[in-house]
Amino acid sequence: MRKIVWLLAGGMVVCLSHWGVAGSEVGVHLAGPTAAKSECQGCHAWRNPERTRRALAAPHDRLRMQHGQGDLWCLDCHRAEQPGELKTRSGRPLPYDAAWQLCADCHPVQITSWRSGIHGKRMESWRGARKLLHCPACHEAHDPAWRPPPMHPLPVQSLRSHP
Amino acid sequence: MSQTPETLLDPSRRRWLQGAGVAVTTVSAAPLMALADPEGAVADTLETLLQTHYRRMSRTEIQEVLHRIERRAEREHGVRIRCQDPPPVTGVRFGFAVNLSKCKGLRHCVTACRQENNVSMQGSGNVRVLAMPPGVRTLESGEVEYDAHTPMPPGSWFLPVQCQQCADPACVRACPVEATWREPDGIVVIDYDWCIGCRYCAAACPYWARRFNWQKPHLSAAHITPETSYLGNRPRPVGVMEKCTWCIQRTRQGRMPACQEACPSGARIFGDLLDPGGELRHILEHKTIFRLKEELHTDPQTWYFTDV
Ligand code: HEC
Ligand code: HEC
Ligand code: HEC
Ligand code: HEC
Repeated sequence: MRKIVWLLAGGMVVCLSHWGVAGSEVGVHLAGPTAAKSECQGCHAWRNPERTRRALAAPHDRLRMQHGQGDLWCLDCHRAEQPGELKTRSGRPLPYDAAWQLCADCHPVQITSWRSGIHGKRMESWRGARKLLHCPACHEAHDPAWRPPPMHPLPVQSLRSHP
Repeated sequence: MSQTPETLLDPSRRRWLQGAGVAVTTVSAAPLMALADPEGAVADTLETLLQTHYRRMSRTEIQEVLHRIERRAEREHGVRIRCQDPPPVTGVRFGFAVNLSKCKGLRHCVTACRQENNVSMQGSGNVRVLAMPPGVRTLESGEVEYDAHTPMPPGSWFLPVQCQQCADPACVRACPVEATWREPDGIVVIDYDWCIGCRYCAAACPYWARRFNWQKPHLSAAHITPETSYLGNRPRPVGVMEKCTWCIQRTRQGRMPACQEACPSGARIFGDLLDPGGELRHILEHKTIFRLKEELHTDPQTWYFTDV
């Protein structure tokens, strides 16, 4: 059932990847540095990609794939020969910094609202070209459910004691 | 800053002080004054009392006032601050929208506001988040004192409230001395040095957005935000009102308000209502929006909406 859902989403790829180009006016704000490609190629340059779904050994043994509730696996998003890059469902390679264009394949609704400012967050300035927060800054790509940070306590004197 | 409206009141209290002040200054010759008041504290206090309304001051007078504020902060709170007076951004009308589907009541905005705006350590700050029972929208049913363990019935939601920056603000009408007004970029401000502390504005505001400084604000030198502005986050004197100014000291310089920046879920949207391609116009045109206590015709410039 889910597979069908993202096959349908995949059908929108042509339109979306086109839009991805038009969307280059959207600046992305990365919360921190994304993993460098070179960190991956040290090992992956000589490894044959392995497509089967399995429990991974070191160094990836701590990675928990929760995304898509069992329907997604590594090479749906990472390039097989060079996993330090992502790829869209149409096979277009993407650097990690452009992850939103990958998310767009399967979450077009959130991408639209992200671009119009309703989902996610505009950074730095309210004027000029928009800088939008990178999706993985709020959603860990492999376990994307949004996890709230701790609640801050109420300040000493509550606003109830008003005015 | 801008021109003085002819109607600006000159309350008799000020006129009296002015007279008294001139007398004192004339009598105490400058050298004597310097001996008795090496740090200039008395002189600064006197000059603050004599100071005219913000909107009647010339640029040079404002510059002097800003320096005085900086000196006073150093004397009273032991910190070096920089106090500026950024003018309204021309051609911009600020607005705010809140996506209620995203607000999880984490109060990061509350904390960030207190920090950015140099709110007294005893004060609550100018943003509050209310835990709301299902299906109710009246502020009066909200609960500020929730925590992560407070049991909440299913369908409860969170409502962040701060100054709604009304286009027809009840507080401004209530002020007997015109110490508060709406700036051309849409921000309702207070001249803390003109405010007489009568609290009429607090009583008039339907959103409980104004707060009184009952005590001299307690600020710790380690936690003060040193970039300040006259109408914004400079340390306030005792006995005056304060409120949210959408972080005027930041937003007039192009930055985001501290609450927007701190919000971890992205529930807060700040921007320019006059920008036809801006986020706010998109929300106003495409979402089902509401404003708080719209029936009072205060014309708030803060809109609430949900994802559905
Ligand atoms: C220290 C060597 C090493 C580094 C560095 C490394 N990997 Fe791997 N990677 C492996 C090994 C070994 C496996 C196979 C594990 C298994 O089969 O249990 C693997 C498996 C994978 C897989 C599953 C697909 C496949 O081909 O087996 C992906 C995707 C992957 N790595 C991505 C990355 C990315 C992205 C980086 C860089 C951020 C990276 N790796 C860095 C060693 C490495
Ligand atoms: C839904 C798409 C998606 C799937 C499926 C996916 N990844 Fe990733 N992965 C990403 C994205 C996006 C990033 C970049 C994250 C960032 O910028 O923070 C990433 C980053 C990484 C990294 C480097 C940064 C880190 O988090 O350590 C490794 C290693 C990695 N993936 C391994 C894997 C492995 C192994 C699998 C399969 C078990 C996998 N990924 C499945 C999207 C995916
Ligand atoms: C290949 C398709 C695909 C791609 C690419 C993809 N997702 Fe997903 N995502 C899914 C599916 C399937 C689900 C599960 C939907 C459901 O449970 O209804 C999901 C669920 C989610 C959820 C909800 C998780 C939850 O438990 O609430 C988030 C958040 C999410 N994705 C974020 C992302 C982000 C961010 C990216 C880009 C880095 C991304 N996704 C890329 C297919 C994808
Ligand atoms: C500022 C943080 C933030 C950013 C950036 C962000 N999201 Fe979200 N996202 C959220 C929050 C908060 C939720 C709601 C979680 C909840 O209600 O439990 C959410 C929910 C989702 C969901 C679940 C379905 C839904 O709409 O509630 C998906 C899918 C998703 N986001 C995708 C994305 C994608 C794709 C991007 C990048 C374009 C992105 N998000 C950027 C915070 C963010």
